[in-house]
Amino acid sequence: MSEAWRTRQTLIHRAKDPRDGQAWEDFVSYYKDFISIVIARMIRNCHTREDMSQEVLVKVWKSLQNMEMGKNNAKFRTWLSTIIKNTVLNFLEREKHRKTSDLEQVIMTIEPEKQSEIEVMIEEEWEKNVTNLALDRVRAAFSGHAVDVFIMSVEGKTTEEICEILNVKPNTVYVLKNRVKSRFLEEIKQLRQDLENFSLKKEK
Amino acid sequence: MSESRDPWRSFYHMTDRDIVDVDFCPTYNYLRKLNDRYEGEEHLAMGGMKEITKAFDLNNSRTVAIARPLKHIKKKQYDAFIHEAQLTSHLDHPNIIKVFDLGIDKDECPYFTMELKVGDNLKQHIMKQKISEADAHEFEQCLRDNLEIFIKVCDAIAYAHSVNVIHLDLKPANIQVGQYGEVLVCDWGLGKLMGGFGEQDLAESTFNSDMINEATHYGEIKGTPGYMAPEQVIPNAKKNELTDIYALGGILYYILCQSSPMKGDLSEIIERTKKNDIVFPAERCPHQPIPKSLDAVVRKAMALKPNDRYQEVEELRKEVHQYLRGFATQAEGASFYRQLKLLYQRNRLTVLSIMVVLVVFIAVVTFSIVVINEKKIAALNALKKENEALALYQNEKMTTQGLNEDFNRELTEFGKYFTGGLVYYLYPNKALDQGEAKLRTVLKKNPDNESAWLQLGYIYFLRQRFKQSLIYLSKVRHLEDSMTLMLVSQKYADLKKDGHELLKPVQLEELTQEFHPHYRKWLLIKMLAYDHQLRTDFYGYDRVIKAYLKFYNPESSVIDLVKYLPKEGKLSIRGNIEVWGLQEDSDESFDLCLLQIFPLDYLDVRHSGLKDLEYISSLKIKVLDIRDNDIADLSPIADMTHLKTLIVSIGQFSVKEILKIPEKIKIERMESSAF
Repeated sequence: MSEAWRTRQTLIHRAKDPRDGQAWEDFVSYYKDFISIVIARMIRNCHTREDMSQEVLVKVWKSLQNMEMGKNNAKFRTWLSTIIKNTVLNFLEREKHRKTSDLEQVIMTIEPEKQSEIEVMIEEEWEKNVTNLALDRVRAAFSGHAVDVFIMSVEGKTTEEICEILNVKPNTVYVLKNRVKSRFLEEIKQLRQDLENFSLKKEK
Repeated sequence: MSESRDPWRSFYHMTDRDIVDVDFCPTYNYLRKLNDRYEGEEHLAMGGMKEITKAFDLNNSRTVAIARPLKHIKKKQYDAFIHEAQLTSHLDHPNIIKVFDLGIDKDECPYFTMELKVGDNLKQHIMKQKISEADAHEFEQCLRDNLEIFIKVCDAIAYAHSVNVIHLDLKPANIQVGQYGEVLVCDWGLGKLMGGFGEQDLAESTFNSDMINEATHYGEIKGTPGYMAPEQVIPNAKKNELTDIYALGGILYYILCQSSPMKGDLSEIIERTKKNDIVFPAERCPHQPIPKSLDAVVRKAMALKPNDRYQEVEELRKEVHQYLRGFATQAEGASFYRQLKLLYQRNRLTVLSIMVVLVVFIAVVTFSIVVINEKKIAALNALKKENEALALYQNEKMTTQGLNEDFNRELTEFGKYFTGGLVYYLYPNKALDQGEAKLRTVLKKNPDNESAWLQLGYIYFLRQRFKQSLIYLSKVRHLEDSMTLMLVSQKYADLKKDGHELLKPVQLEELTQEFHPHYRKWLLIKMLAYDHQLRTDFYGYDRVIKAYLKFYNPESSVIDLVKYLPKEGKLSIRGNIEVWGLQEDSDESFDLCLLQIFPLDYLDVRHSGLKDLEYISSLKIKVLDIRDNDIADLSPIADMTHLKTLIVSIGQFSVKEILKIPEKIKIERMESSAF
């Protein structure tokens, strides 16, 4: 997976190719949770949420096929959140015409004046998603207490406290913390580069 | 926004720069977060105006000294405090304490930080040495160490003066001495920036002299009793660089005596300062070996009138430096002997080496002179022999070539060689022997050389061997003007029974009458020189000398008396003698005193008509009696190197003349009693 990242094209770019099944699988693994959570922030019903996630992914896949790379320089996330938003709105529209519609399921009202609120929420969720992904990768990369030290320090524990909890020397805490932090930030940088853009901006 | 609440999300937004800052510049991050700069303040010392604490400067990770005004100091005096810091930070010298930072703290109180040195102040440093218990050697050692410190203090003050800053509170307690020879002049609280010319350097400074000077205008008297110059205790007196020089003198005093120049209560000290009533080091500590030169330096530096002190710190520094290098100080006014002694102390080894070399050298030279003297005559003879050999060679050459005329001239020349010249009168016998030998070699080759026969005849005549003389002279066909010589030879050849004996004095006297000085001027003096050398019995010799003198003197001269005592080497002459010497008229010019042929120690020429001492100045006499002579000039006496006593009549010479006589000659004044 990580090797593929070193190619010049972003994951999104590769996922566009219908023959590259691996790329699409990777894409789904990175975005699936994010899409689910964003939808969950708006709709309560579990079954509905799953259906909608599927629907969003299908739409994304289809839209990517038709997209001309380089022309659309908008952020991929903006594009994706538009798809999610529209999918949810379409669903709500359909539910209005049904008599059995249960609007209680809707958490957020998708009114025009509330649009920016939804965008902020999506933005937040995306950031969380990236940091979680990065942390997963860091966990895979380090052994022992290293990641624990880092997490504890981020969560506000002092060096002395960490020393006491993990029974290590302050100097070790300092070194581990910085090593993990450095890697963590590097991972975030990579993820963002790969998952937020249609193509590599820096390469242009 | 909620961003700041979730630490994880902040990572998402970190830029590349943030990443570097966090991971690779921990110190920067640490400093960025520091709130308090100084940590763990501890009390160190307290002065009249400020408290000094020790603290750790977290920013620079070093321990510093912090000065803060004392609690009771009023806000209006804060400027004075701040000006001290500004004045000190204006000074950049290794021996002046460095101010790091100046600021206002949270309590709105000014503070400044300074470098902190582990060590004592000079006062404590000297106390610890316990000099009073030390022996002379240890005293000297401590003194030298402390003077090195003093030199550094002088350097610092000289620098401060160069930028127009005066300290005005110099004392041992204000000098910090580090473990590794660091010396720092501290506490510039009374320091003053001098106005006037030379302020250009200060133009860039952040403070101006008017502001700073306000600080010292507080109160009437400021400084430390004992180190304060008289002008500091007199209200409104002008303080300047010379005030610091006075205090430097006080520090030097402390170094020498381990106590301050004055003790007692404040008013007493002030009174004494005004009068400059100081007991100086040598007097104060008579039991310690205090160098006089440094005592003199203290006296000069602590003079009452500023103009009597050293005018520049460099002068004072130079003096102490001179002492350390083993030279005399200016203030001391050292005698030549003392300077010589110091020179010896400085260069003990060199001087000793030179002495040894010199002694060896003198010994070698003396020895050589003795050896040379011994060999001198031998060498002289060797030279003569060489000349003879040369002459012989030339002679042979000429004979074979038949150049008789030239040969004769040559022969005459070397005839003169052995009979003429001053050497003859020293060794007449030897000279004649050599002359004879030479002539005989010539005659061996050329028996017809009449000139050589004539010379040989002359030699035998001088030897009073008249029979032999006659034989040789008879070989000369053309005697011409040498006929007299032959006639006289004939006469005395008959008189003398034994050919080897010398003539009796009477006969010798008679012989003088056979000749006339125009005939052969040198004949008689040479004859007598030879005669005197060989003669053993001088009975009746007085008449010979008298006749001899008469022979060379014109008829106008009178010779009344001649008394010769050969054993004492004493000769007395009376009369009115005109001619005292002979002058060579040839190229080889020399003057010969008639009396030179006699080995005299004592010459009594009272009433002898001697007019010019030049005539007898070549005599090697020890005593000379010149009473009753009309002598105008005494200066020739100076040439008489052997003379020890000069006898003159009372009133014979003016004082001016007497002064011409060398000091070593004893002058005896006696009654004029010629007979």
